[in-house]
Amino acid sequence: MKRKLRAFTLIEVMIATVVTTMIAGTVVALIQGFVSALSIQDLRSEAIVRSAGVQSHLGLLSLKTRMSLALSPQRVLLWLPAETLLTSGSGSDAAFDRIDLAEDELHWLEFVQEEDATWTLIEWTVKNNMVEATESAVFTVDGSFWDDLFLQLNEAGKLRRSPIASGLAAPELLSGIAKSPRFVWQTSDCCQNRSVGVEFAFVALMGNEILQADVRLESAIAFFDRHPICSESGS
Amino acid sequence: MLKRAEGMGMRRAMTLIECMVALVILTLSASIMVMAVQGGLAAQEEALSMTLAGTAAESRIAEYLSKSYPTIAVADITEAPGAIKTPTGEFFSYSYNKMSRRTIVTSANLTVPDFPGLIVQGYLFDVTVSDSWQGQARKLVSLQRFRPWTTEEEGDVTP
Repeated sequence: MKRKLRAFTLIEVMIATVVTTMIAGTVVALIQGFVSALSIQDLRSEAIVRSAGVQSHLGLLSLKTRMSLALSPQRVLLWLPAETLLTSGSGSDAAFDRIDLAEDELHWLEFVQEEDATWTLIEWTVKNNMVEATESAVFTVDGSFWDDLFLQLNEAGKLRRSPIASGLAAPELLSGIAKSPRFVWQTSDCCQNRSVGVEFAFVALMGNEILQADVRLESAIAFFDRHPICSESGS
Repeated sequence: MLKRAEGMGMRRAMTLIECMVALVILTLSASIMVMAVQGGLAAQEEALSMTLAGTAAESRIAEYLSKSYPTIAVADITEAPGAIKTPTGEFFSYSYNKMSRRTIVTSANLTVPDFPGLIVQGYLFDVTVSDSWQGQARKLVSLQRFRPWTTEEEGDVTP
């Protein structure tokens, strides 16, 4: 004889609904918690890893830098001499003046905004196969000369673009949020300036909340050399 | 009756004990996952604090290395939380707000073990960045750097 199955009562259905809703709510809250935790972890990981990368790169450049030739919040130019004591003529002003474009002596660092509104720190160097071996520039304290040279070389496709760190944002300073990541320095006089630094931030959105980590890095120019022209110009 | 139900192709329902055991296992698993994530977050927060503290300490070291040598003097400076300044005199951003910084500058002589008798005169910079953790001061980073006196320090032009 086949046993007849009875239907659920209203109370049973209600209890089951309540229990299911509670479990679903707990699971959703748990997932949301994990997602927000992952967002925070992503932000912190980016801040740790990328700022360490920028710091090591900046430290390496400043270790080799003789002088900063042009300084602006968006772009700086570092002069890394290629000549050795043997090839420089040891004390010859002419050799000291010459900046060989084919010898990787000029390194521009620039913050560039990407299409997704984030910023990338780019290093620009001269492609040595695109310039004549004898092509050079003579040292000058005029920053606009170096800006013009950058534009000329960039338009001619003679600069190599190497991203150092991407996904950067404008830092939040005590005076308000800056317009963009920026370079900082000791003094704008390149004959006196002995340090280069950067300020940037990492930003992540978590619902309506904005998570932000601001970073400021600074590096001293370890082997700063004041050029003879600096003394002549009174700097 | 149970055998008869199974024999008729019907599956038996879970008992209350089985249900409770399942719920306990689910709760324990969820708790372990939450604790693991929380532990990871706490460790990462500390790592980020140490990274930022390192940049604040390095900033002070860079400031002293950038100074003209004759302007450096022996000092012991403590900056309170929220009051640490950049070399250009601005306050550090909010991310550094809980950190304090102590800078000790001492006149020191550097000796090189492989060169007996060689003594290099200079300054030793000792920078410590701390924050507060559960009501107690916690040292995050401590950096030391020596700046030697060189003949170039007195000349205006090199080489």
